[in-house]
Amino acid sequence: MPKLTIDNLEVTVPDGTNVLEAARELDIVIPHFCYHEALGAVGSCRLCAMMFVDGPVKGLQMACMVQAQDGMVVSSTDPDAMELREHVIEWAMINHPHDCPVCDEGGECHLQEMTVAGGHGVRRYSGKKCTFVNQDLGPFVQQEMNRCITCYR
Amino acid sequence: MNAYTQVLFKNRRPNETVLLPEYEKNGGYQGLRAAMKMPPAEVCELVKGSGLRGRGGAGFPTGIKWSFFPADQPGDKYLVCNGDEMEPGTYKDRQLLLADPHQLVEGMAIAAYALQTQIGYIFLRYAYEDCFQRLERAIEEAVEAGYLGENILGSGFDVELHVHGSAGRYILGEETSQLNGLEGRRPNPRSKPPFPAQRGLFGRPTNVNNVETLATVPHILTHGTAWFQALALNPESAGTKLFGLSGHLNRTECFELPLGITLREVVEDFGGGVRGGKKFKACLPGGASTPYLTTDHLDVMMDFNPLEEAESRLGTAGVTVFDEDTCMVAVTRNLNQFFARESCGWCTPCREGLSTISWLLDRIEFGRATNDDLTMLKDQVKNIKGRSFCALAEGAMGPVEALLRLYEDEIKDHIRKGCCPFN
Repeated sequence: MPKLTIDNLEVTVPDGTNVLEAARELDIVIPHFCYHEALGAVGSCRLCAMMFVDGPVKGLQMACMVQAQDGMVVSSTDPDAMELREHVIEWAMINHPHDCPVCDEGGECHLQEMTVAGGHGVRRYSGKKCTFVNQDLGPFVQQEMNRCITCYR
Repeated sequence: MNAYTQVLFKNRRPNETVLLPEYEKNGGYQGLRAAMKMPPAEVCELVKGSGLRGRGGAGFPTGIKWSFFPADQPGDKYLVCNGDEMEPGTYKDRQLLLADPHQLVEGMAIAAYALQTQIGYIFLRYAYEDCFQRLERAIEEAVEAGYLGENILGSGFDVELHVHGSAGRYILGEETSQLNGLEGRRPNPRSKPPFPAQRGLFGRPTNVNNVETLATVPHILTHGTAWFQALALNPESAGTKLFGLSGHLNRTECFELPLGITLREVVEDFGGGVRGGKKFKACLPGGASTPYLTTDHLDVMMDFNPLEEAESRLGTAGVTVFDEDTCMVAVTRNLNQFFARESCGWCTPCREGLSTISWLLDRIEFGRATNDDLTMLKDQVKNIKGRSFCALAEGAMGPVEALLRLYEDEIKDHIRKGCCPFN
């Protein structure tokens, strides 16, 4: 049962818990896309970056990919971690259409929440966006691939 | 022009591939015979003691990589040769395979014995069709002669080699993507740890090495570590390296040269100097992922550690030279377009970040950029370096970071003038 310190708060978690889940035990929700408890850790979105200040692992790491260990000291508010999270959101939004007003997901959208959580606001990219051709999945499912941010969840 | 000892290119002739009888006559498969007289662990120790470093770009000491491999673990174990050469400016593995492919076959047989792997795959880039044919023929010859197959050289050890053509592109050069590709999966990289030596191909212990690295092994076994170390001009280093020259030179050929040779000698003696009587401006020392070297670095030794100290890397020693009329922004834009296109799309910094840099470099090159774009370019590099899932994006940052470090003035000129000053 490793004991670790996240944002100056101590927590003890079962063996095999990753740091993202350990933070959630403390009601600290680290922004993340590709991680889901039912699907496991993927490590591709790069959003859940935290700074591992002390302990067996050091440096900027993805919280969902690192197993909690005794003596870890982790920070979610480290400037480098926050800067990376802001950039990951900006990157995810680069190809995302400005569809919020007409999109069904609006108001209950994980991307909207992560954008606000990440601190991204003003769009700097003024180039062309990638577009996709939608697949025909039958009369009951409508695909809108232009909105996909390939978060790999 | 100095005549340096040829090892890998000793049998090389234009437009001809060395077949087994000639290879054997010139000392071929003596390395394998020598290896099989020692216990496998001793072969590993020998390679470690030789100081051989990986020739695929990362330069990791081969013997140390082999020492991580659980040779004694029972069950299936694999040896993979990374022949997915697609780094822009790198063509030396192709030259090696066209000239003298038995070196790789012998090297893999020795490695298989040292690491106790029964099955080996040579993963070859799809475009290297001519190398594929030559390798298959070399393997056929080796099986017939008893160097591969069951009970090789009467030792009781079995080893089989297969050539596998890649169904993908650049990302297949990343070792874990390559393993996914060999398994028939989508070739995204895997996270490390676990490393391939622990869990690799089909979940089994796997050792991956570059073509040139494995082709060097027979020579170390035949002639010994002292001989190998003496080949280098840098006393702290060992061996020769294939240097593939390209760019604005009079002679853009592949030469085998000692590690520690100066950039000046490579460019002026072997490259024949910059073409058209122009002056040297900059070069990529080791393929597209390595930071630029400038006229300040002409007397640096072309070797792993000296180039790291010069804030660059030896990489694959694919030396691409740029003359005084070259716009470094245009060069970087071209290189970055390659990496952006080749991104496998798995992780956000590489997939989106490289395209963003492409867009920024387009703006800068075509005179549409502002100072804000330069600031944005810097923070893109800062947030991609060390933050991506695999080393593709890391490599892509090589030229871009070097552009910002060495040629910020050229960028500012583009912004100020509203056009490329070299046109």
